[in-house]
Amino acid sequence: MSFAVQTRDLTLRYGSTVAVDRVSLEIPPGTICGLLGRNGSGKTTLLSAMAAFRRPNAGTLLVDGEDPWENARVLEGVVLVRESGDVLSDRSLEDNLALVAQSRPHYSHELAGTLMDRFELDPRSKHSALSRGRRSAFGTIVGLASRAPLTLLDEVHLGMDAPSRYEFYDALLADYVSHPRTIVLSSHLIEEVQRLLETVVVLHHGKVLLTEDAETLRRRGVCVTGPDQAVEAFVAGRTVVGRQSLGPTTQATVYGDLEPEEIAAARGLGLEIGPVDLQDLFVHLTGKEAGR
Amino acid sequence: MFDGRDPIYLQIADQIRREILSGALSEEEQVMSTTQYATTFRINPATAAKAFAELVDEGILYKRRGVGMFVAPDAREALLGRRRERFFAEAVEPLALEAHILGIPVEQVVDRLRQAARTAAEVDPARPATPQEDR
Amino acid sequence: MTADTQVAPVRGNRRGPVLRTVRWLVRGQLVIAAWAVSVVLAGATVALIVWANLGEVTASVVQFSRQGGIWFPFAMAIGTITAYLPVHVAAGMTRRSLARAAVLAMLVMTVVYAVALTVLLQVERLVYGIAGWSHELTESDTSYASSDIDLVLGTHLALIGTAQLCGLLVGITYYRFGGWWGTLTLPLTVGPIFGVMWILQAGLGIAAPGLDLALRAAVIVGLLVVLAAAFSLATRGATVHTATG
Repeated sequence: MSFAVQTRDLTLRYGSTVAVDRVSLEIPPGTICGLLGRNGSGKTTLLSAMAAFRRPNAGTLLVDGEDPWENARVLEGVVLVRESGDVLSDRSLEDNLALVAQSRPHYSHELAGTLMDRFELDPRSKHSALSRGRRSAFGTIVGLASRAPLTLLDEVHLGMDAPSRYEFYDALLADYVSHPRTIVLSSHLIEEVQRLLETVVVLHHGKVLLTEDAETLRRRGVCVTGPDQAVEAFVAGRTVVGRQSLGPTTQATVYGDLEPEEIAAARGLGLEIGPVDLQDLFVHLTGKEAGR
Repeated sequence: MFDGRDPIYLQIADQIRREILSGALSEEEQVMSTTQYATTFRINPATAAKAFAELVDEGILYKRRGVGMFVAPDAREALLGRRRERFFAEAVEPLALEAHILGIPVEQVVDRLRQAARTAAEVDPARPATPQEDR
Repeated sequence: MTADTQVAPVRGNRRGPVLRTVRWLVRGQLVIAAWAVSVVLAGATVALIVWANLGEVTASVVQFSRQGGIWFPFAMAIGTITAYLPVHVAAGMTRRSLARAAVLAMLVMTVVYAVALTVLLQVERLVYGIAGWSHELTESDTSYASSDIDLVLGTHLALIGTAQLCGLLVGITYYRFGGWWGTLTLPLTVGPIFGVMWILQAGLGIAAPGLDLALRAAVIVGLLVVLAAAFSLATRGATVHTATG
């Protein structure tokens, strides 16, 4: 069971601050989608609307075809895990899991137990007594064990140390493979998660900068290296998102589709062509001057 | 694993081709499933599936319903044939062009090639040298 | 309302979210209530022993815990709703189900506290009877004696029920509208407790109009319904904040 998400001109404001600005996007059901953006780009606010934590000010939002606000059927299938937890902090982890278990129809005790062991969490410890890393780990357990058709993980993995993060990626993939569902991972650090993603949505200043298939996106950026003049001649008329010069050599990062003939032509000019890393592209796209 | 800058599915497809060429994967042998690939290499299953789809289109792999993916009976031959076709366009022609620019006579190049071929045969006398992966 | 009835058949045999939440809330509160009642019992026993040794015991000691019986559940209700709302929504349930569950759980706890206080008072009356002391209710200008069990219990139910509904309302107002509005609306959100004390002539020391019992009961029930409706309305529109810490 997987839920799709569709938004049209979705707008969310805090007083006079527009956090999400006429966002239109689609998250296909059954995919792992990366919601990428810098801090303050509106990721958390957008996810909050999907989980009906917050009511949109304008526009439409459909989760599995329906407005999620106060929608018992849809909400049962949407889990949003935020770093802050949303748990009963003075209660034990096992109490908290018991609450989740009784409200989530697809909840897996087995998965929760396995993950509790793997992250070395004691079910009897109080949530408030956990370190940041362990709270994050507990959040991911709640998120994964719920097996919700729409699982929203808002930067939860950032609080964990590297070994735990990789445990989390492995657990996420393994469970996704056996129980396909829609998973949205939000992050501003995409190096580690990029290969897990099938689709990518980049938010910037509350707007959708792009929404694309992750592989396509990766091929969209091209790194051109070569003599100054040849590079300049090649990139003329294209969207250059970064440029570095080292003596007579220039490296330019170009955003946009390149036909194979164009790439061949560039190689003919003595230019080196290489794809850019998603993280590079993301940094370029959401840099200071971008999106203004 | 897969840290080149090409799309991951192309890298996966290449790796499987390489394994078939080297004999690590023999014909009619089952290859890892997309889910095994995904979990082993921490990649999205859809990405792995894309690589397999490409190889199925090429006739390198075939699908047995409900069982999994297998190496096609003539996969190695097909790959070698395609490599041979590409060999002249990708290796010989640029070589001739480069030799021409540098003013190296063709005879000298041919001599050198013979020498290199002898060395290659000594290293692996069992079979004609398989072209190295050129990616 | 309509959404609930549409959804109900699909849920099959699983217990609905309202009942599950009531159980969850009540279970947590019962533990705390047991502690609170034990503290009252111990405190009253000590006070009575001291008083009896100093001179003649002339009035009920337990009656003084009635103030605690109002303000303790009141505070618990504030804490419960503010701590539980984000958890409830994050667990995939509607605010509507929480609003209903919180009111129902509050009713259960009202009965628990009211019965506990009444029982304590009656036990004390028996002890006083054996000791030959007079069991007066002096704390308020009550027009009934401690042996009027129905009136004692009724007063407790009305006071504690109002206090808890007011607590829920105060909590959700602070949570949803923030500190300024939470504080500014206190006269409206806490006022009803004093109103009920006044109507019942309990604990305020201000003369109340001589209304007859049925009319008082009707006014109080009406007030409770208004409070519950206000709480429900405020809860159903509440945003779950980005929690800090």
